[in-house]
Amino acid sequence: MIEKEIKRRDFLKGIATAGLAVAGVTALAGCGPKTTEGIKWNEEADVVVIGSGFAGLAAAIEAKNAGATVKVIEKMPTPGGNSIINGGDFAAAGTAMQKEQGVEDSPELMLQDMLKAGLYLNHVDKARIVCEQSKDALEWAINYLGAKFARLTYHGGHSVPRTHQTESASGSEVVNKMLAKLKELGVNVELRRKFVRFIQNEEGRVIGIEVRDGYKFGDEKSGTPVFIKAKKAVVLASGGFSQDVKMRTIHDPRLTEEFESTNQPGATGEALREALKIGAMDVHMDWIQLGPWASPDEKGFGYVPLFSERVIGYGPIINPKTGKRFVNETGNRKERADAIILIGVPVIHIADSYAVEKQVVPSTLEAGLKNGAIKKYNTLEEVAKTYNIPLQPFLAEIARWNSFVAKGKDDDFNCKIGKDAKPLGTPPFYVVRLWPKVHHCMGGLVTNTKAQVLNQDFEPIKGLYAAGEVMGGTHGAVRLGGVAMADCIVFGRIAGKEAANEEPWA
Amino acid sequence: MEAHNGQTNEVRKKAFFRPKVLLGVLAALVVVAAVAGGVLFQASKKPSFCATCHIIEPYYNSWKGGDLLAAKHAEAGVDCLDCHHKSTVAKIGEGINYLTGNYENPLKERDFSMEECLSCHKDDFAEAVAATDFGESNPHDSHLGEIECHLCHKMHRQSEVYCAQCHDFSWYKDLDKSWKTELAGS
Repeated sequence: MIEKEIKRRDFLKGIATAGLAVAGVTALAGCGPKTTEGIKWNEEADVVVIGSGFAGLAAAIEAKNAGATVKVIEKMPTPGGNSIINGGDFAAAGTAMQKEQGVEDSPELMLQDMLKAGLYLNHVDKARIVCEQSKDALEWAINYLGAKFARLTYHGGHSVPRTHQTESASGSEVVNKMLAKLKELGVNVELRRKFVRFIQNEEGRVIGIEVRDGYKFGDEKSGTPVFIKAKKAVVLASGGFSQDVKMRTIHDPRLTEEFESTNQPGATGEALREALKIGAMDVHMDWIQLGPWASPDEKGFGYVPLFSERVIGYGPIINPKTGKRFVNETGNRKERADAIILIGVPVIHIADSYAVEKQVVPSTLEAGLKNGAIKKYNTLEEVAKTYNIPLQPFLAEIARWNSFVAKGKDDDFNCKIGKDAKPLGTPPFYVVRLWPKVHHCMGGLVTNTKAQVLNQDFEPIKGLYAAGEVMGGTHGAVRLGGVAMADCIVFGRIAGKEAANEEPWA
Repeated sequence: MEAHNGQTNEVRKKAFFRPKVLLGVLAALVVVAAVAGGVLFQASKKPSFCATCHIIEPYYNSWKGGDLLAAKHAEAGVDCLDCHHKSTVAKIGEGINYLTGNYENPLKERDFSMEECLSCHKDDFAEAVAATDFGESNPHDSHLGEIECHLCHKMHRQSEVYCAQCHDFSWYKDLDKSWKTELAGS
């Protein structure tokens, strides 16, 4: 089949070349020796990166700066993957911004938080590297890339505020700076090129990839085969599989298409599975995280996460059936999502205007009010009526919550009360409905601390690196908010540097 | 009879292969081909020529009238060949594609690059950025950075708001009929 396709392509190329010759233009011929498979390489680079999110772009920048020639391929028509739509929170420990705000933090404390949330299933050596290098990675994003981080935020499951949010409250701030930097370095992301499979030589080393050039997402027949030689290594940074219903229901059968996802539509698992086909080892594949702060009243990630996660510790989350709280609002994502799913209907997160004005970025609030996912009410009675909450238990629960806020301690669920939180009471009251959406795959390929992908014999697969969400183990059972960006950039940079340092095979 | 006929044929063959006659025939062929080619070339400049092919016809029709962007281009005096098969090589290539059956019906959607669009719309782009600053978002200046025009703007079918994959913006409802607006609020 492949042989056939190549022959047909060569035939077409012949026609094209003849046409070009008429026009007096010279065409580039395919380059390099043939492999045992008889593959004729169309293109080549020292390091070939699959995927253009945080991890892939970080790897590309580092590989290029280490002197390698680099290609980045992306199957979608726009670059950035999930990273360009993420909430822009970067977890890092012991940073200047934390010091300025009097937050005492350390890589060790961050590691303890990660392990606790991860149910101690984390691959500790790799989690430790993320924590220890998080500060450096953030500084690289600020100083080298020129990304702007405006505020220190808090995410459930962390001991202290340690997520550094971009000015625009979006990961696109970092992705766009990475793309600009790569352009400066002479590397362009090659869009609509879908990775098809790895090409290995006799000794099993990954020596290149097959892609479909001109691929249109969703049309698997689109595009034409192109073979790209990777003289040093391939870095797989293809992301997770939250949008791959078939694959995610294999690993967690509860996550049917009934559940929406916060992810971009291209977050599917075929690239990861190609790595498994050549003998890579996987881990934690059934730990798929749901975002407990997502809203059924808007598409995708939306604005509600940037509202709800900002007002945890300032306003309670209520079960509309009972009018009562049911979970630690500042618990990790899994505790919260599981508790909401158990209730079976969307739950209510409420905060007053003091908390919202203090905590929520104005543009986020405005956008959420405009799309209708954030609502505003003048009285608690009105809230109860709108959401069919039994009024008296609801008012009693708000009073109880306010008593906890006043003394700074939650006796019921041990929610971390915000440092400057006030009892809820200043109208208007802002309300969102919460229903979890599939958000992040903790599981993925097993890599060592050099980001090399390991095979079923625990040995590195030569010429293959992985970073970002496609790599598993770092987060264990639950990833904490903001640690994706840290993980992607720390290990993306490692993968890029290591890949560039490989001895070329050709 | 046989011998006589054979002889005549041979004489005729010989006459035909005489250099002068051969050259004359070839020259005549070249003239005919050139004239035909010229006529074809001239005729092909007219959009109605494109519609003589039943595969192209629907695309021609969307240019000739209706709500789509192709018709807006027609109003502005933009013909088929202003975007398609600009070079002679491309025209010949299209002919070869037709003869060898190397095409799909309906035709594969072509993705014009931003450069191709901007070759006419150069000054319009800055205006578009200013005109689409809707406050809640600006599709021409978004977190996705610089994206290809064709991801939203379609010529021969309804345009699609790329933002609508994730966002429900209120400005969708103000879009004209060249857009798929059922996306809004879904």
